[in-house]
Amino acid sequence: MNAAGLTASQRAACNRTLLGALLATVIMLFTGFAAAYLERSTSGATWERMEFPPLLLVNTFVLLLSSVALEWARRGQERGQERTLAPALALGALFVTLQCVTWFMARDAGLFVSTTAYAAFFYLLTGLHALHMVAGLIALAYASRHRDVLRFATGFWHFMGGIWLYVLLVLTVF
Amino acid sequence: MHTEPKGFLGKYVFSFDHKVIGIQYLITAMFMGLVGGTLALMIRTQLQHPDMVIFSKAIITPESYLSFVTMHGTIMVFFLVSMAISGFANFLIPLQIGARDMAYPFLNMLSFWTVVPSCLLMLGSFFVPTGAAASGWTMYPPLSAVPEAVPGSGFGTTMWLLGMALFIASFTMGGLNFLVTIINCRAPGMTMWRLPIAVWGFLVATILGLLAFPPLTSAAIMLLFDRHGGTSFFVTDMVINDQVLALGDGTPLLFQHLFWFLGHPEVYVLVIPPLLMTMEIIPVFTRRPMFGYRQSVWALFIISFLSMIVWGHHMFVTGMNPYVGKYFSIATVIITAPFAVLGINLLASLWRAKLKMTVPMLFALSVISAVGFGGFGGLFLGTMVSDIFFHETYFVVGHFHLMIGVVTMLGIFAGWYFWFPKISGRMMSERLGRWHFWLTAVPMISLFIIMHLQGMGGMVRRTFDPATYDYNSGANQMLRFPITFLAFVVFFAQVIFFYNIIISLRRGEKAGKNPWHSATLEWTTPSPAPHGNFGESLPRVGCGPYEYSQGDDEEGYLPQAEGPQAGETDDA
Repeated sequence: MNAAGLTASQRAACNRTLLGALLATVIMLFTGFAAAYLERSTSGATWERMEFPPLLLVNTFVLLLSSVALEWARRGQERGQERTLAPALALGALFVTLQCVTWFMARDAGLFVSTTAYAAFFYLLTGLHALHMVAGLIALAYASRHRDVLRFATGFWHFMGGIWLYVLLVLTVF
Repeated sequence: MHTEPKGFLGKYVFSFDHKVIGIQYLITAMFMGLVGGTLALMIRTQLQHPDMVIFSKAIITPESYLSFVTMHGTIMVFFLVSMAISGFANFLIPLQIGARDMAYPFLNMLSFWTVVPSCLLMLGSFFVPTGAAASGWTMYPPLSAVPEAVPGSGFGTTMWLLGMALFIASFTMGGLNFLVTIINCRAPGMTMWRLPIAVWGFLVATILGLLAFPPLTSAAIMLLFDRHGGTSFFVTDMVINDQVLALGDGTPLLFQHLFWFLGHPEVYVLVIPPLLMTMEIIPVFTRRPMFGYRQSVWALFIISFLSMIVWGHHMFVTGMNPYVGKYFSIATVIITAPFAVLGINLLASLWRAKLKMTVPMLFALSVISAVGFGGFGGLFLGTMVSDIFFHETYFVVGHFHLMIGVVTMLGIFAGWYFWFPKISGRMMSERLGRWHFWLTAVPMISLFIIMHLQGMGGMVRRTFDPATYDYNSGANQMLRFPITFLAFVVFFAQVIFFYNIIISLRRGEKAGKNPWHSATLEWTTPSPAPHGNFGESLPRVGCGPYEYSQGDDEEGYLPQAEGPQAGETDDA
């Protein structure tokens, strides 16, 4: 991994900067959608909410647990203990699966991306978030073998958890 | 350190080396620039002789004319200027800050090989039955969202959107790399305030791009869904050709906001690096320290912050609340203040200096005058009252071509002539370079100034046949010829440029390490720089980048690598 002739501490500093910059772009991406959502929901055009899928609360809880499991593993590993990332990975994968289940349930209830503007935003925001979660899972899987990117992957995962709360907030409050 | 590759593929095609990737970007940009330039000539030919049959009427039709305008803009903005800047950033950042390579060489290679399919999608869109995208480089819906509106909004626009998505992905990978490299991989002693100013330019432009591109991504995704997913983010019920389309009740204006939130900072992403490459070149040929280095950097940060909150000045005529318009107007005009700091620093760097008129210096000086003319026109477009008159006229076309066409290209040429010895190990021919300069800079600047005049006369953008309108007869018609003539001069002057490159690569004078007697780090390496850039150990930087002696003595300067080392003196 040390391709540019850097020391381990330089490499760690690089990963920190990379994480910060990457998260800034993620924030701007979701801000773009949220701005569109706010504009669309207040512009006076027809705006029908859908019934909030209760399963999303379960998903949120699973995501929270995955962050806890990840933090447990990372702190242990940094103290030199052998703690596996497997529980965090499993909970993360469960979250993505449950998101898919939520979409299938919405589809069976007759709600498609073209049905209402709210449904379109619901699918886009949750779908985009799920894509980032898949990327996060790949990063975590890689980090379980490569300790030097563990902090990077952990930071990304926790942050995407925060973005999920933001998505929920946008979809329920505004 | 990644080992030096041996095979052809590893060395020249899928290389991890930042210098090779930089050259790959530059060559691709040149090719795309030729395509974009050819489109410009076709547009000019049509405007000059709306009734003439060129090749055959099948090539320039009203529909394909719109495609040419759209693709000319897209290619020039994203695939010539942006990519040429990426090329210079890749080539220069590690060499100037004293790093062996980018922080993430693999990501860097991936960034280039993501932009290649993006180019192919854009070029390929000319060959689908409905033609390339035709709703302008701004892709405003509903024109771009409804295939019934214009043939180009068929599959061509889908390819445009996918190509743009790939371009943004590539830019993000490249940009993250630039940012991390500049912040974390500097040589010992290279503090932020000792960075060559071009690196500051790349840094600020990268930050701007990273923050501004994602909202465009979101807009592009929503537009794709409007086109193919049956959603109505941007489209509303409408009637096209007596045909009622029930598309829902979206808001087309929303797209404009998201687009210009990228669009305006993008202008600065394009202008800042060439402008600061110019600032980098001038001290070398005046043999004096730069005037106001830190002030320029602070001005740069203020400019880039302001550039992110003024996007509304592209939308004064959309019926926005006049109070909002007034805010955007005032914020826009405030940008003049930090920009004046840059301008004054540039001029003060020249004040009473003994200029050495080499080709890169000539181009650098022409950048300053182009910024002057371009910035002056900007005042009238930033002010709401005059903008409402000038909107959609050739005044706008002339203005933005001066800023993001002329300033950028002249800066890129300056950089090319200046760093060509480091890229190839040989000097460009000065004589041919001078011909290229006079036949490029002067016609370029003057033709776009004439466009301003045409715009004042009311000549409207994106018009297939300007003769349809009465006000385009008379003086406005007379102005058409000099513009077209100068455009052809500029295009064919590039033959000299390419001939110069080929001839210099084969028979150019050997450059040696430091042909310009410049103080920055890249000139301490052999030309061309070897794999890993800096031999056994990295240079230790002991002073700022512009320690020149202010005299006639070309050797009278302190290279950054030879400044007072920490420990030898008490470094204040």
